[in-house]
Amino acid sequence: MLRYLLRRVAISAITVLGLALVVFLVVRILPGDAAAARLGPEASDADIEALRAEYGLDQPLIVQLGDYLAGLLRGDLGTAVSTGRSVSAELFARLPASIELAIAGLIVALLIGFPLGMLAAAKRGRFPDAIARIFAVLGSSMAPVWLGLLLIFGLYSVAHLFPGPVGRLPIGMAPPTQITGLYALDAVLTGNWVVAGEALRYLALPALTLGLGASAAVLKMVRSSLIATEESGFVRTALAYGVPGREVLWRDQLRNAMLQVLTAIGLVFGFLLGGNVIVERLFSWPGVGRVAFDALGSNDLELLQGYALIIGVIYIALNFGVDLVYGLIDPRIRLGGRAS
Amino acid sequence: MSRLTIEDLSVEVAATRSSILRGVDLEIEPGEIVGLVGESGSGKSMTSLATMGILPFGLRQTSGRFLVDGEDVTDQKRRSVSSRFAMIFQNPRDSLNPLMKVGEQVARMVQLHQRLGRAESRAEAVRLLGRVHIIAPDETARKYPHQLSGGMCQRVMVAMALACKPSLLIADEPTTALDVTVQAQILDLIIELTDETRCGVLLVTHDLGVVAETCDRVNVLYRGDLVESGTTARVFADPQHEYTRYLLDAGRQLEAADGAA
Repeated sequence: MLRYLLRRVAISAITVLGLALVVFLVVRILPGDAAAARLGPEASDADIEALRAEYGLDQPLIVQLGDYLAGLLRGDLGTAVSTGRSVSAELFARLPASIELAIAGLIVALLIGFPLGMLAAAKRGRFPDAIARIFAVLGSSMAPVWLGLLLIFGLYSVAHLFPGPVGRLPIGMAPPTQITGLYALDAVLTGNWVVAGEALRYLALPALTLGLGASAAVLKMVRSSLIATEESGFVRTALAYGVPGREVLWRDQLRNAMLQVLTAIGLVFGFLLGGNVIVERLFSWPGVGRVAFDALGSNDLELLQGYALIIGVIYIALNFGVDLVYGLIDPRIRLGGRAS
Repeated sequence: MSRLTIEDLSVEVAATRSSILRGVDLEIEPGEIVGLVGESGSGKSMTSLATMGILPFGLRQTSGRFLVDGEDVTDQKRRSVSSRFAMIFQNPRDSLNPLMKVGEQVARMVQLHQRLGRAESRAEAVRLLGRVHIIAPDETARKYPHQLSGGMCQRVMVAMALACKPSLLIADEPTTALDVTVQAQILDLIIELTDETRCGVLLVTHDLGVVAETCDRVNVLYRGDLVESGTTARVFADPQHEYTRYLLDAGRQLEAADGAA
């Protein structure tokens, strides 16, 4: 287990380094000049040169890379050109909102995708399976922006069941004392039930928008990995020996299928966190996706670069977490030994 | 009274209606090991899976009657539950749940089929592991399948079979995936336990050497038809069907080639 852990840590570290390199290069390769963009079309060449010098953009690429990596080690992601604040301050202030939304989205995805996937696998080839698969195709092909608009129209404009897309809390309501930065959780922790309720109500529609799309991915993964275990030798053994089908499903199939499903859940969560730029925009949700969207609009490459890096690092951390859970579930990893 | 009687078993692919088994009849007496031989795709494994009532997805049984100890069990969907069938398979390690300790897996069958409590089942599982000649059964019970050799895993499977106190043991290519020396040990174990428990054994194999050493009677399947059956001595000495002769010749040529080499 220790060797496995060390290997995972090393792989994660190398991946982070590679990610930093790619992000750095992509931003440098992009056409356009951050300094020119900042100063606008009226700026003189001298002004642009001066600003380039200020940001170190006149240095050779390798020197810039060295500066960039040295900055990363100090936790310095640079300065957001458009606001003048540090990139890390901009992003970390907004990160909890995105995490809250991603967690809520994941919960929705699991609540829908998991039981439907199990049902589809258990009733393979029959009516419930067909319905679940149609749902999966619809869910994964529906654009989030369209689904979000439908939900806003149906559940807010027409039915008035949920609040409109104006952010995390009703306008004018003060957020709870910050502990984790997740409003609903902080409000519960501080016993502020009114705010907790409102935070959940405001969270519902964007979480549903994100979660419905992601539930399709969860459903497909649960279904296919359960079916894969259904055809494996140990399930055949359990059935041949008269273990009741329900017990085989829960104790043999599901636990073995979890190994694959966990990978999918890690990916889905990373996707929910990084890929919700549009949903955050649609619901005026003040998360990192909004920051990235605004950074694109204002040509703020430093900020965009920081966004890509942070999301990437979170992704890598999630995968590391999934690998750890693998080790807990699977004795072949925990105890090592002969591979079967 | 026969341990198992199969009458007129037919199986087809549900989607294309192409037939896999046509009117197979079989009979196994107490304490008898009956071989079922044939080439790949002849329907050997499907015969055993159909007998257990666990045909894979997409296959359908179109006719057939099953009697166990004289009792008609045709209409019991998963016959294994009530009729004390047990089965061991070709790939012993794949047949065990990789996430469960082997002792736990045997104990689970004890609990299920002998209706013992948890602690008693565990003790019985260790005793059964000892009975299939596993050295240090206590320690082995706490291991996971990936920590054991293929032969050890097959012994665990046999222990699981014993836990069911079966009337009939179906052994589907039980030694094919094992080393030659381990093969002989597993076959000896099966013979020994058959004598002790007086259960019937259906031994599915493509290896005529295995049949010659272990089986009292043999049945030959060819493309879904049962083309020959009789005592092992009679079938080997005086094969009636052309395919059986062909099969025996092929086996002898292999032996001759082995001997020459």
